[in-house]
Amino acid sequence: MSVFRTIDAPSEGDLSLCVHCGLCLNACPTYLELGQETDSPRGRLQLMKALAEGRVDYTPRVQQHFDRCLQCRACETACPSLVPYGRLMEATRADLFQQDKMLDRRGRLVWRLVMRGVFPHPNRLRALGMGLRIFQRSGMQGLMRRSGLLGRLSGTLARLDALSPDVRRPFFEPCDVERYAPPGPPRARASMLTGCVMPLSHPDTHHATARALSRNGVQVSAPGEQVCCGALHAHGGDVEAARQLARRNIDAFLPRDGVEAEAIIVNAAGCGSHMKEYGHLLRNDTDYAERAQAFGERVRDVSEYLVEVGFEAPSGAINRAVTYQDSCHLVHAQRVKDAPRALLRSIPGLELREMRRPDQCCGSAGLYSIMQSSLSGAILRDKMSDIANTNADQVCSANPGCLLQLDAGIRLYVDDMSGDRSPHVIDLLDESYRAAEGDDYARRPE
Amino acid sequence: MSAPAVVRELEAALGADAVIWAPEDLLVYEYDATIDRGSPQAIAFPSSAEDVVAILGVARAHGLPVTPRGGGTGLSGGALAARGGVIIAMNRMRRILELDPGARTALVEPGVVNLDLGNEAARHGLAYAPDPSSQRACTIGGNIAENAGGPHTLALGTTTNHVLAVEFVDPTGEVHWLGGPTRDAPGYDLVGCVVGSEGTLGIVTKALVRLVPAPEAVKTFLGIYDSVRQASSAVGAIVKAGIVPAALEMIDRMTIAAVEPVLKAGFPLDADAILLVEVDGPALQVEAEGEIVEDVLRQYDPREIRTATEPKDREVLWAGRKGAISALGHIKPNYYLLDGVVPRTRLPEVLDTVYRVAAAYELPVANMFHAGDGNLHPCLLFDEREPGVTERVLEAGEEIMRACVDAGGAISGEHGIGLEKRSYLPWIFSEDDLGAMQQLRSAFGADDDFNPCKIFPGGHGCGEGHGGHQQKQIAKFGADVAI
Amino acid sequence: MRGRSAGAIADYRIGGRDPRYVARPASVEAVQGLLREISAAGDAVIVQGGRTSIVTGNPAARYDVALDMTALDAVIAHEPDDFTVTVQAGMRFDVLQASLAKHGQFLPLDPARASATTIGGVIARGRGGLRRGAFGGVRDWLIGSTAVLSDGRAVHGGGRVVKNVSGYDLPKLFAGSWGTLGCIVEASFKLRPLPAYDATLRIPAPDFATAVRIGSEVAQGIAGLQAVIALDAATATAAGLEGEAVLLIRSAGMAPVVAETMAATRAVARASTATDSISDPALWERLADLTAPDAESVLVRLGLPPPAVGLMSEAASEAMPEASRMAVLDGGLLFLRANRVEATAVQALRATATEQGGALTVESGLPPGLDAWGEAGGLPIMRRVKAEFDPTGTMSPGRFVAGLEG
Repeated sequence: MSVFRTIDAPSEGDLSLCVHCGLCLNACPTYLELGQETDSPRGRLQLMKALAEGRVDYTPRVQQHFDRCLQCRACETACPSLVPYGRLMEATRADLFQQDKMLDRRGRLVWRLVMRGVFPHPNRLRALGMGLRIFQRSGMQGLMRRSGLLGRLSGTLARLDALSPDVRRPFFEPCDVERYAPPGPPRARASMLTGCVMPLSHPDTHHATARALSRNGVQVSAPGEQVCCGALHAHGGDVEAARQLARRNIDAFLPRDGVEAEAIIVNAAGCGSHMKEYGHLLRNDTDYAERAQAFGERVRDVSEYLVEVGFEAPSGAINRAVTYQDSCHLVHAQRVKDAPRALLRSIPGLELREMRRPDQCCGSAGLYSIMQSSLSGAILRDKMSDIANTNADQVCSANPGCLLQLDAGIRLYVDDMSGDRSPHVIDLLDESYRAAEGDDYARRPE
Repeated sequence: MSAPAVVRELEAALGADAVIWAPEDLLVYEYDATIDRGSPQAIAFPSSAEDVVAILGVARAHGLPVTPRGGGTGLSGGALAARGGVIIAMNRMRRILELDPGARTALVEPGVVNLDLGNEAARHGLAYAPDPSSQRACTIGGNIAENAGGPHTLALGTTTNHVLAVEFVDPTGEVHWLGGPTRDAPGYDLVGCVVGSEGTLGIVTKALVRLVPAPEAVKTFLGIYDSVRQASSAVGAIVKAGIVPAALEMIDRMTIAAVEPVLKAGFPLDADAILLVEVDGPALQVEAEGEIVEDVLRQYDPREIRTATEPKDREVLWAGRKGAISALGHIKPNYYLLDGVVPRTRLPEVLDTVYRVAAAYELPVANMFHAGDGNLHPCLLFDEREPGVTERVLEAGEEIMRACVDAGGAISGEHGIGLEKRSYLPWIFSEDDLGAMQQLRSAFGADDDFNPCKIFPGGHGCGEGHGGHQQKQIAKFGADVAI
Repeated sequence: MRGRSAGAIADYRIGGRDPRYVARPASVEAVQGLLREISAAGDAVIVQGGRTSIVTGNPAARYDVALDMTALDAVIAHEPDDFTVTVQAGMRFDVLQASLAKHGQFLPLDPARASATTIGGVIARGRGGLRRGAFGGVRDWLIGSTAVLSDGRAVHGGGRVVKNVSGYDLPKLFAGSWGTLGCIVEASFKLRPLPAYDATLRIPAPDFATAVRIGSEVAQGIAGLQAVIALDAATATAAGLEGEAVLLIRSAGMAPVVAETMAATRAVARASTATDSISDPALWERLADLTAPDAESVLVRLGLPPPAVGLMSEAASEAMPEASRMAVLDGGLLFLRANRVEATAVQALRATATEQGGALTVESGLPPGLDAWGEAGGLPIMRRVKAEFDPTGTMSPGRFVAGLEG
């Protein structure tokens, strides 16, 4: 009898698409790292089928193989049979989560506290951010890093610390976008997702995004009622929480009795890919299904959008060699590969140096870098050596999680790379605009 | 559950993380890219020839069969543990040990993925010529076992032309170096025997392979035709014109229908055949040969000819060919992929037969093939949930293979015989031929427990052979099976 | 059958030994019958075609019967449009090549003494020739074969298609087995189109070392050449060329491509005095013939990774100072011919060659006590192969590596 019990279980039709040809194997970071079929996309699909057929129970070993999946979806790009692997893995986790099989009691408690208790609530996130800021401003973090104390206490703790964002700058508020305006009459209107962690961890990137959009004639807004997109919840199997968040965002961006966003701009690839799939997430919700579909269709990654509407090439020189790490959820989930590169190539003086396998995951993968820290670390180490081999001055990416992971990687493994934070692609574009036109290039006149 | 003795001994020899034996883990080593299944008792991951020797010793002591496995992308069931036992998974031996641009050779471990070697060679202006469509995932060890080909082996030859020497563990556990950096190694050409022996003569633990200079220029032509006849006549004419293209490939209407929605290569859905012709070499030669190719393509009344010289554009043209087999999963949930070879001139008539047989059995068929080599890959498409269809598929497949043999061809061009086509082997080889081959296997020291039930019909514990095998295949179809 | 239409027994002498009798079978069935009889009687046989390499190998342990294959000389099938041909083993190489040429095709192997050697002999030697850098060897062109084993079984492997993984590759086993596993009776090859234009560039050099050095640069630097060959003065003279040393570079294909290749080659070779011409086929035949062993002289053949040829030719000038030399720089071959040679010199050269990844064979004039072939990797398997295929030790016992007997 099938181990799956809920309506969210992976569909037989989706599962049957896999002809086990194996073309996905070498695209999978965990397969490359571990060299075993059990930790490959084909292997996990086989295990899903076995669960569906009741050939195997959801044992700790099966769980381990699923937990090790980064959900980077590189296998989807590799798959000629169009197996919707990401959707299948999410469905598997959703079903098992609802049967309380995903997490043990302690895990469930932590999940309730953090994922349901904090993430959906911008105020609570800000409060946590303030705490971290005090820790950083007090100099404690620097002291502990220099002393190597954390490393001696626990490798995981040290990695956690290495991953923690620098939150010393002012947090970004949705209303901040109003500081920017197009130089002339706007040629398009767009709403920005500000998200959960990014306002704390990457406020500058949000400013850069709003400025660059405005600079290119886009009137930017950001609904104040928006919340976390729910991607982390969906990846973890908590579809109920994910649906709840999706509904709130739909109400925020496409209000029933207000102005609907024409385009929903996201500069976090993980959020963007999840939001493009709101339609699937809420397919059984009669109230929201239709709007969720419309919502998904309006979501654009910022680079994708700028290329789509046509952006003006910046003229400020950035004389650096930069390598670009594709964000999995941009390149594999959203299939946006060329747009960020087009932005980078438009920058005078900037040399884009491709690394080996730029589209292979850096090991960040949302909560993965914390939950599977040792495997994530091994994947990151390989990635950093590919990055170092380019001899680029900087590595950039298109997702905050990736950027934090790369920053951690630079601190842990690369000696001769700029210790500054790794920039988002849009940060570089913005930097180039500013270099030519001054800091206020898109600022709304007071 | 405590580990069985064989597992404990393997773990003692190799380390605990080099052995897999939990039942749920073994599930994912039941399959390769074919229909068949085999259930191993343990998977062992060697990191050296010595490890392989140790595994062979443990397995022998327990009377268990062993089966080597690479990427598990094979299309004849070659990597399956047909009678259970221990799978020797070579995936963790995946270092490129040495790449000598001056000598144009690379010393690699067998688990190196074909494309990874190609990419490494490219950094030195070199290439590894065999490029099977699964090159992103298949391993050099597996390529050696199957004598893998690929679209670009028309001019440069298949794997056997590119393997110079191997470190090799014979089935008795003796380690040998066979061959040498040149083709002058004294004695019999044992490397030539090992390549294409489908992993039944021993286990390659290192391989010295030949690299070729990357061509100075490459030009790809895509000719779109309204009939398969026109296209296959153009193939003959190109070869007749005295040109040996780097690649000469064809796909038919059904394949276009499968590929186009996925890969969006811009193929017209109502065309009957698409030819892909690639010429490479010095720029001047590419230009001169390209003109001839284009002329010939035009003589056969194409609807359109496209050309590409930039890598990115060529990739688009090629994507439709290389992704073709897997894209079929998109039309029907199951396919049965054949691998016949016929003399090039017999292609048109054999293709007619393929279509006629498929129509008679009421099965859709997609054809994609290495036209220049006469290597056909008809794919019968079906949905195994339809009652009785599987039997029809196997019968139609057999009839098509018969047609290939009747036209003076062979039953495998590059996928191997494996488990799948054992019962067809007597169609092309006499008892004496097969006897001599079995003797060669004995000479290498292989017994019934070394990679059993592959290539040769019959065999102890392998089912009845000669058609009995097919019965087994039908019986074993599960809900998810694609053949 | 026995002895019929064969020449005198003395014509089949090998290493001073005459066979007890000669057989010249005219059908595969006759070969099967003969071998069954010979092996049952416990006799040993040496299969022979044009006898162009009959002096090569270790001394036979036994020699009772000469099996002359030259009566089996028919073309079984030539499919010009498929670029394949199937022939009987006793066919003369030049006869086959001439019949292929009528269809604008050829088999790109360059055996020595093509007007005498047979297809069976070419396969038994298993070697590529002067153009092996471009075309490889027999194993790269042989797609199918039938051989008769000493117990009379005719075994077939491969087929008539250019790509094949159906059963074990028996043709590769027989290619280069020097008649010790069975008697090859039939073979299928794939073919090449004859090039439209074929040219040879001749560059005089002050000495052999210079010719080798320039040739190595050309071989490394220019893609798509067919042969780069250096001759010393003595070899050049024997080939009918003048000069202290000569470098010969062959290019073939479409005329403009050949012209450009040759221009590039001149530039790499910094050759102002080079002459090029449409290839004189007779010159290339003479060159190939210079690689033939004969009973009167010592011929040492070194097969080498191409970058090692320069180094080996220096080593050779010390070990065999008297020898005349010829080097194939893109294909990695070095031929040394002398009137006599010391076993120690051969051993020293062989050691260096092995170190460089190559191999040395003494093709003729083998000094006593030396193995003609050198040490074989996988010898235990080879012994078992020999024992499986020829358990009676009928086929050329003792002649091959380590004196394999069966």
